[in-house]
Amino acid sequence: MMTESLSHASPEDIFAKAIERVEAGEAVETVVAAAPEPLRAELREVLLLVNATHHLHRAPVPQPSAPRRAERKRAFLEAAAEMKAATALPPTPVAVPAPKMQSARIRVSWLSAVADFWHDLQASFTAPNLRLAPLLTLIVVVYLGAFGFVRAASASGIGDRTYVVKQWMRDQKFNLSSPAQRPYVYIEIIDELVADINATSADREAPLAPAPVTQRLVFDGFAGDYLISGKLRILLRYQPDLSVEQYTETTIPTTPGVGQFVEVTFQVAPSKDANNPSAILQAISIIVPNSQPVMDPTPTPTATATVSSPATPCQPYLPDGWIRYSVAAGDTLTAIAARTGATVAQLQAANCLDDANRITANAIINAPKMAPTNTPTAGVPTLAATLTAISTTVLTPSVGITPTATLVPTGTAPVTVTPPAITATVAPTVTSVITDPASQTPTAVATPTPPMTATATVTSEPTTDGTPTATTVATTGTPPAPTVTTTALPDLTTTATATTESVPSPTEAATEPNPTAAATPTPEPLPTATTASNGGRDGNPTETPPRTSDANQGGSGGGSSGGSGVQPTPTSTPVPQSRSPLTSG
Amino acid sequence: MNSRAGTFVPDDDAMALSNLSEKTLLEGAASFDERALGELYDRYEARIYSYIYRRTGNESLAEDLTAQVFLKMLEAIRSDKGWHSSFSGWLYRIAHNAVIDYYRQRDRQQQVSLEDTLTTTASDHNPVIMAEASLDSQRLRMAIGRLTEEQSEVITLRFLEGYSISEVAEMLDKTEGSIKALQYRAVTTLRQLLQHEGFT
Repeated sequence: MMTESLSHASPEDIFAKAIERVEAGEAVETVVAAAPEPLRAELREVLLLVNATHHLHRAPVPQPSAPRRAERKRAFLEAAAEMKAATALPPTPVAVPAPKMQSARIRVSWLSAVADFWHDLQASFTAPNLRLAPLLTLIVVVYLGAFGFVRAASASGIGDRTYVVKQWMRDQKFNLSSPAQRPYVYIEIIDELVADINATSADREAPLAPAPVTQRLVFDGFAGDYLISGKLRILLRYQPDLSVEQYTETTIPTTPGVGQFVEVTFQVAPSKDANNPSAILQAISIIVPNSQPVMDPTPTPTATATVSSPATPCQPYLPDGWIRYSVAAGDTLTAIAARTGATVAQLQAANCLDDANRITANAIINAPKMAPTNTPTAGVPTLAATLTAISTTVLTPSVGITPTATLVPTGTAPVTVTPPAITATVAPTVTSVITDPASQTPTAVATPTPPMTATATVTSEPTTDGTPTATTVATTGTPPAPTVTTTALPDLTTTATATTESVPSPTEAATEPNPTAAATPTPEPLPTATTASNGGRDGNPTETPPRTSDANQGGSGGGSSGGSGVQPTPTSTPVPQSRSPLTSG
Repeated sequence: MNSRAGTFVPDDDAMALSNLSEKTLLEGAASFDERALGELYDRYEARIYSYIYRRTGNESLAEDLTAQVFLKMLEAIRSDKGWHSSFSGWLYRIAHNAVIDYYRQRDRQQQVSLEDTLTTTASDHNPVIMAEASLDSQRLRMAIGRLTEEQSEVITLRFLEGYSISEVAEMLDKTEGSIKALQYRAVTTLRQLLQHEGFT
């Protein structure tokens, strides 16, 4: 049937369909058999060739190192910057970045320019061109007037009369850009606006409350009490009198659509906290013109703007109701946000954290007030213990099948420490790796503070694919030893009858605060590992726990030797118990 | 009364640049916007590198040629000779040309023809046997390099890069029918090239 349908098709189609079938996993011969007889020989060769090219496709591609790639990217971006600079148009008067509040200086330079020009004009007055003087003068006055006006406008700041011209120029810049360019143009506009706001608030000569500004913004949404547009956050209430702590809610006529224009009249309220100067924009009124969305509502201006606006370096600030908070070990912004009810974004904004993952313990950050965290105090001993046990199990079932099971268990083990007066519970991680039947080198490292008693119980649970997980419960104990390193070398051998004698040899190294010492404690109780593993490929449990591991202190791990400089000799009692799901099930 | 109001801190809640559509990024790239170019670079660098590596089998050469491809992209933007339809197809074409140029230049310098290389390394020219023996990759690359530009481009994108016929058609701005025809002609030519008669 396939042959018939193909016989009418062109060779290209037959070939294309055949390749698709081979790519879908069909055998070459099956596909060839379905093709018309005269084409089969050629098709077979061609398909094998395609298969060969697939080998190339599947072959791994060695990737250059990350630093090398970063270096390449940097070179690329530098080349781009050079090209951009080389192709850049000469700056127009509108693009001239002029700092605000320099009207006096501008007037001076303007006057001096006029004076210079007048001087030149006088010098050039000769009989023939004297009659053109009135016309030239008129042209000069008009030119300088227009030029000066544009410059004054672009240099103006919030509160200046010419600021509306600056806003108008921004609007035109936005309107004249293509829809695809608008996100980028808008980022620039908001950057300029933020710069104006900063200049206003940083200027000591500025009045306490500069005149409110009406700005056309692209609406991105509301977040709590704020209206969001790009990276601007505008509070939806305002103080009619900035010296009085009384707020009036801002009226929002209708909820604007995302991406629509809104005309927001806002004022810049100074920060109340001298330590965290952070101006707040308060919306006085909001007008929603009846318009279509003007911009893609996901213009990412926020992310890009924060990276690329050196004019407005981020400064941490402390909003009302927030406190200075010391980051505890293990804290994350997400965790702090969850505890305090703030969002991660708010925490990042208030602390100038570009990377939400980059906070360090003991760092001071701004965060909302919250319940005190249970940070350990100095009087309570804490214990951080990590146990790493690598053990090897050799399973030799006596049933006749002689498979060797390789078990790679992982797990966690809680350690309970009982100091004289206080009790601390710590959950260390125990990784038990059963790798090669030949090598049996389990090690356990515990770092408790003194004094304590410790025993360890390892429960190993092989999964169906032969990868057991091990759980170790370790209770470590003995006299004061600031740091205890336990190296357990259990020798786990599981027989087919499911009884395994495991002889781990834990070694403990205790270090006194003062001298450098490696102590090998004497783990008296020997770890007991109970393992039940079918050990075979047939999946039938042929053995029953327990497998017993004895911690042999004098074993290959170097047991009690090398105890120099150690006053206390901690006794570690790891009791690994391995249990197979096969038996429990 | 004067007051120092402090610095306005913009909202930091941001969406990643990676969410921007390719169209938006290309608009930004056309005006040399650094962020747009950086993001485009991140999206395509690994793909172009793999493409070139599979054609050349040489890691450092693939790195150098990848860098060249992106520089050529910048030059194309500057001279306004950029992409017209599919950006990825356009970029792959630059990569393809970079590989071709490299081999041409090398062959001129070393005076070693592809035929010589192929015949000296060929142990068996039966494509079936070669395929079964997992075909010498280098010989296959060489043979692909002997195809016409269109054919080698289609073969590389289809089989070395694993794009479907419709995807390749979109990249190269051709119909699916013409890609099927090119694919057929390319593989049959490749088969002939890899046979002994093709090189003697």
